[in-house]
Amino acid sequence: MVTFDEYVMVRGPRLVRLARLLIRDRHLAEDLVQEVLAKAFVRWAKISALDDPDVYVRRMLINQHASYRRKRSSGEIVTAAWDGPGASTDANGRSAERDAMWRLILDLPPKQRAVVALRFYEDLDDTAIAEVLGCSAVTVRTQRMRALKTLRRRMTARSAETVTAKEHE
Amino acid sequence: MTEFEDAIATALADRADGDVRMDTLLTGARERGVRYRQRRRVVRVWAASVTAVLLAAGVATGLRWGSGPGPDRTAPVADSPSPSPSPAATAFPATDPTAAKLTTPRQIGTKPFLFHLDLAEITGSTLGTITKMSRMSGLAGISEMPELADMSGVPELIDMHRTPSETLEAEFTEPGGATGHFQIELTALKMNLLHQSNGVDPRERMVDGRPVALSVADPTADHVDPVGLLRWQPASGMWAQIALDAAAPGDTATKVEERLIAIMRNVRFDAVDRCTTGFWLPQMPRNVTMVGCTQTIVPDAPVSTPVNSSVTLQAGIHRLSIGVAVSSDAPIASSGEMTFHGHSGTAEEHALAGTTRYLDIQARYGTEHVARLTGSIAYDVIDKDSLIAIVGNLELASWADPASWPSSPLR
Repeated sequence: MVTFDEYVMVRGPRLVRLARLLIRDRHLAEDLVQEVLAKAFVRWAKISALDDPDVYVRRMLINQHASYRRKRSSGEIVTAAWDGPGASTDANGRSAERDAMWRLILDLPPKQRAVVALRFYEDLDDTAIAEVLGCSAVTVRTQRMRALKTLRRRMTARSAETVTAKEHE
Repeated sequence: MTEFEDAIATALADRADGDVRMDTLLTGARERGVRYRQRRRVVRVWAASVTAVLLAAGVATGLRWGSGPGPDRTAPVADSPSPSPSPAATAFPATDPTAAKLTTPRQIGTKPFLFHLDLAEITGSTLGTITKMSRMSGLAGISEMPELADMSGVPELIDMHRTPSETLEAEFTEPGGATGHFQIELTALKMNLLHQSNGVDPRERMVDGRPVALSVADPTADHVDPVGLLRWQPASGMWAQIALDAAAPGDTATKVEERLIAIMRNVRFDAVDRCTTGFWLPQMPRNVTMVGCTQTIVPDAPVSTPVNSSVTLQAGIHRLSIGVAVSSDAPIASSGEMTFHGHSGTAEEHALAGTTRYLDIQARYGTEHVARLTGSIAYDVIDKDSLIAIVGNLELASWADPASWPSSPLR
């Protein structure tokens, strides 16, 4: 049975990176993970006895994030706008594209964002994501499809704005 | 993965990337976790202290216990719903015909080797069958001790209470295969029950003509433990509470409520069973007395199966929490082998909060049995060598003959 310290040393970095995808503030992401791990520490005997403690801890992380959002009455403030039509015209265009995509992801509803992070960062399939989120695989698929549709639509709109801006230059 | 999805993955990887200060994360998580655990213990001790004061005040002023439409205070005996025999498959603990049934709140838990709390036969009920049952009487309770807990059912941290109580914990398997766990606590002080909470305000309803307070959380929500609480007064001056742990998949609040009521209907308070231990602890100092006893049984197990028992001891004005558990197959760590009066085993110390340390000793007796002694140590009260001597001198009773087991391990 894996000890708490072993688990944190092995899985901690991945948890923090996942948290960075759930929450905007990187420092807050580490605090979020620390909070989750502290709670896991208290219950480690039970958690470590599970078939896959990682599923449980990741679920704790998702729920902790949801709880954090609820406690902040106004919710996490997400900047939906990107850097402007000209942002990708500089020499670091690829970096700007990634940044733009990230901002679009941030603008997704929390559950869709969690699904996107678990699918495209953690590389989990719908069944595994469903286990983490505590919902059905069908729900996960629906959330994922909606998220992709939204991202595509907004990315297309952004590209159109970029083209328009270039034409006006 | 499409090009678009690939762009998403790249953006996420880019955003998630960056160093993580693992030492800070681990240290911070452990420190915060210890604080959470301390806070929980402090709340429990605080509640117990307050209730002890209230008890004293109540006795002094003749205050009525509880409130609301409880049974008449003059009711002499705690009601038991349709008295039934004890779980049939249980060969022990033996009923003590000389012991007195529970008649007043003052009797609850004051004899640490006597259990009044029990379950009626539940086979055929909606609860299915009890697969494991643990009863405790006295000044001790078992709480979580994550670092020391294992899957062998060995008691975890023995937590001292300031007021006596009786508890019964059980695991059950329903006819449909769902499993569950609940705890019933019986106390003379309502406030003793407040350490259990699921954050849901209780609502009152009548069950079999008796008012009960029900707190049922959303079974689909995570981290709700217990999912259901049911509190009632079996008799004047006595409070009982059922705490039902996490629900089975697909459960509804209604199902949780049904389970709680089914358990309530099967609780009985008129048992007079002894907490028998399968071991003696000879050569204990004269000032050591037993203040708590816990016994775990597996109803369907063969009679010869070792029973998990633990005792809580008091030395003078100091209370020591020492649990002794005996099982046939508990693991012994391979490293750090020691010898305790001829018995091989291990002794490990774990640091807890403040100056408190925790000692975990496992010693092998013969080829089949392992005794495990876990105790929190305040070294100004008892030293480590003395604790090791206790387990070294432990003697096992005949496992094949539970009737011969002592009612007190001290002699």
